[in-house]
Amino acid sequence: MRNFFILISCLLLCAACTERMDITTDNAAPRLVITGCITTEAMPHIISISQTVGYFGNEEVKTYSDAIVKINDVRLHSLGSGQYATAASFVGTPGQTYALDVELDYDGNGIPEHYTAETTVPAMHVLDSVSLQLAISTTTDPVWAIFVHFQDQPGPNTYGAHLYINDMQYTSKIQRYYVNVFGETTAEGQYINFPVFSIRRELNWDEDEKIHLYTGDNITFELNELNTVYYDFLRAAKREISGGNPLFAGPPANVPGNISGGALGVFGAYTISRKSVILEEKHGFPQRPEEP
Amino acid sequence: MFILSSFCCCMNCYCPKYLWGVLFAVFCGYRAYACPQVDTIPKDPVLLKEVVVSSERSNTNVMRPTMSVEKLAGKQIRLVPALFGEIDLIKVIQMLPGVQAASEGSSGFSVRGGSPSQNLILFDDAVIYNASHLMGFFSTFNNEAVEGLTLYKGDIPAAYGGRLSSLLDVQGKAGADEFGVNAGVGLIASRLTLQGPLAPGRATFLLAGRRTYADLFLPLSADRSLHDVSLYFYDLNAKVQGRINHKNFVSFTGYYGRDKYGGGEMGISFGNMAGALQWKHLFSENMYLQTEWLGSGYDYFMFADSPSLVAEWKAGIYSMGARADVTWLSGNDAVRFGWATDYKWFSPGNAYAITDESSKYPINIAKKQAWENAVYFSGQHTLFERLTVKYGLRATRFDNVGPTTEYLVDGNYALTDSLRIPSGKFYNHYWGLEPRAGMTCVLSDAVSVKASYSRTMQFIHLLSTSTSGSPLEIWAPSNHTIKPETAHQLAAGVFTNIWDNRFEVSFEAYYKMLRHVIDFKDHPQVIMNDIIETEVRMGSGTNYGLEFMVRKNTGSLTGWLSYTYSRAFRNVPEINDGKDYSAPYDRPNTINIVLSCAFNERLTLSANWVYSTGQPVTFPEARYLFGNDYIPVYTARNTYRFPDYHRMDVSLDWQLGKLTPHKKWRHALNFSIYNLYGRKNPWTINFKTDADTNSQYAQMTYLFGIVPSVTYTISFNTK
Repeated sequence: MRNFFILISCLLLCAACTERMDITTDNAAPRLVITGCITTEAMPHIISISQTVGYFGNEEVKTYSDAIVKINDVRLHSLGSGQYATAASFVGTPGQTYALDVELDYDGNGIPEHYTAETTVPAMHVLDSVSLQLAISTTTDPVWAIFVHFQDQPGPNTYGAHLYINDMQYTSKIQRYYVNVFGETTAEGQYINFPVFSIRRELNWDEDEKIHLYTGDNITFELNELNTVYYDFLRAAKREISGGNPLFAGPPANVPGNISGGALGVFGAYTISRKSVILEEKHGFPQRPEEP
Repeated sequence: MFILSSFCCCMNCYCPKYLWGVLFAVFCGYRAYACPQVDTIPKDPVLLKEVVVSSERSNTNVMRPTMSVEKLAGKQIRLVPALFGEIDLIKVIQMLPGVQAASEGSSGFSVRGGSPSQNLILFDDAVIYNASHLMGFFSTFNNEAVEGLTLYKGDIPAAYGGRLSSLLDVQGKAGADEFGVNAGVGLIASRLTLQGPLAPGRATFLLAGRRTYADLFLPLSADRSLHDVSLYFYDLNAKVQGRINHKNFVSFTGYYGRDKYGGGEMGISFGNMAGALQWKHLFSENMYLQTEWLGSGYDYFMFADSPSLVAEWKAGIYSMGARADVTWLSGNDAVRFGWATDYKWFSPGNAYAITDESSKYPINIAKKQAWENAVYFSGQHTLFERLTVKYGLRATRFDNVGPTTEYLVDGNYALTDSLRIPSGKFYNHYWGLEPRAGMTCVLSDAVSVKASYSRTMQFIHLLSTSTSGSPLEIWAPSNHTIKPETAHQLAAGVFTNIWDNRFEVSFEAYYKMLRHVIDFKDHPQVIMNDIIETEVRMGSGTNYGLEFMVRKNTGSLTGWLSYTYSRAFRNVPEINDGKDYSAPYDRPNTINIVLSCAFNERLTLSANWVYSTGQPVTFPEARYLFGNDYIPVYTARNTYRFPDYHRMDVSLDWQLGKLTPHKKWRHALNFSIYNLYGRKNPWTINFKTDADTNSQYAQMTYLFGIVPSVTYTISFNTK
């Protein structure tokens, strides 16, 4: 479906031009922002504390490193720059609820406030395998779809997916992160055998830079089962960051979160399951050029 | 001494010798001539202007007992400069007071602050659900098949209902008694119209078609991947009109239009279809019955066909209806009553994807059916010679009919239950009364004051968050959760004609109150979602404004100048923290100038200039870092505006060849420039991150620079 939107947008925009323009908006009063996630992988889980800045301009984001941050009453240690980490052995358990408590005197009245949130790790979806299947067959630049194979569980289809190219996270920006848009009535309890990402010899990284794929590259697919709070947050954030096309987009709106006490941000949870595939010469990818 | 002669080629007159003077001869087709003696008067053929027999008085604007109504004839529409030279009636009505384009280049229009989905668009009484081609740049109406239009911005006749804001009644053109061909070749489209008699003196036909052909040149492209790409739209119109005897008349209007874009591996196709069979029976000179059978539909179809995935997706709305309408006329009085029925099928989405034989993923969103019936009665009576009163009442019953799945939600729009409704079961209904009232007080032959009130109801709703109109629009009926939208409209105005009826001047004020007006929650999922009830939000609205217009319909210079002050606000408890916010079509100030100057029979220069306050928009006021992205923060909805919109277009219509009255072949060239001074009106504004400074900046997308075009038209008539 996304391809159709792209096709239609291309038709429209074939005649369109873009131009930088000056806009001034009022600066909203600063608000505290708390973000962080629980996953099913053992690693230091990070909670970040900062505050909003004016939308335009290049004001530095102010961070808070002197808060008391706890998850299930276990205090996290400060890494500086507003980041707090759990122990490296911390791992989320599917079905378990985690409570975040941040104690911080944000309003500067000498009495610390408490900002809290709860999040539950969803049930695990385990990837059986991933495979490459031809999507668009041209000899010069074939497009390959990355197919995922796993058993869907009944309930909301709040999937997300990361893509790694040789251990580099290609989906490090939300615009490239995959968020499933199909609802609960689609593929309910079915065995999923479906394309999620497509790759070709050149992938866009940003407006100017591209990533080149070669034979022997390792493509890793990471399936995330997102809890509802985090799914809603990512879906809305993706929409807000991608901008609006008047043909399809509704009016902009704030990204929803779950932090109490008037703070923005999200305390989410998701599961992780990964599988890899190696690009081969038969897929039409060139040999990596030798380093000069 | 005057001698009156007619239709004779010679005159004899005897001038007594005692009378002094000269013979001054004037005769049609000959030069005025002063002859001292008998002579042969030189010929000087002149083309007489047509004799206009009009059903309307020259001060109709003043005397007509209706208000908030705009009428345009096909030939008026033809003179207005058009994008790519494609004459488009919807783009012309967007320049009328109280009407605005939904967005740059769009065929959607807002009437008095209402949304485009609140307009009932009829083509010979058959509904057109989505009047757009090519993303709205062109409308579904081929001007060659249009006789004229009437736009009711309020004061909608009781015979029509089902939408809140307006009725756009487009009348199809009937064929002529003589055979004729009209062909036009434009920059992006060509059209052909055939018309003539089917049975001499009893029946005529008109067939009109057009097609864009930008894609015909794609096989010439060096990029082989473009060779199989389709990128076109076409539409076909047919109208047959006949007289069975002096009391019975029948006509059939048909429309079919389709847009197709895509290549071998994916594509989209969408379009409208409409048909109307009409039978008019005269009981007497004063009373007649019009019976109609109507059918309409809009659907879209998308496909992907790649080696690893085959997918299809289709959705649409279809309706079949009938109406019987009796009109009784007596002098200036009229009574009209009737019954209308319409059965609708809603197909919100039916899709599947197949990746291999064992992996098929269907998405079947529950189809819905609804039956709308209405009886109506209206009257118009002249009291005390100068006072005319109007009244009307429309009673509507709307039924939801199975089979379908109905989703129930609680007060917070959270899903509570779902009901499986069996086939044919009437499971939910609404009643609605829509009164109309109006009065016209003629103060003199040149001045009148008018006032009107109407209540309108809308039982079907467009599920779209688009602000510019989209081909992927689906409609949904009212049900347990989604209530019918209602509107009360009060309007009053002063109408006057000045300078011997050369100028029509009107001034109207209106106030509208809306209830159960539809909006959507933040970040809704309206496409491919079976449970739309959780996404919809309902609230109230207030629209008010003033409209001023000066119009000149006669002479070599014709056109209008209008100014509109229009405000539109919404209040939905779950949106904008329950505070009022500007509706997307809240544009306080709008100015339209549409002028056409006929220098002579050959050359007509037309120009228009439009200005309006920029559309309301929500801009971010703060941001925060999440991973590698900045997430915007908003404080309120629609508190900012796009830059003001303005644009000027010009066109020159040049009739070529000889212009003798009985010439069979005629041809003409039309040159036009859309956006003459190249105003960059934003279509959308997005925000980007500057990689060097890591700061945000705004980037606007605008669709059109200066767009010149040329169209050649040739026509043939046997007469």
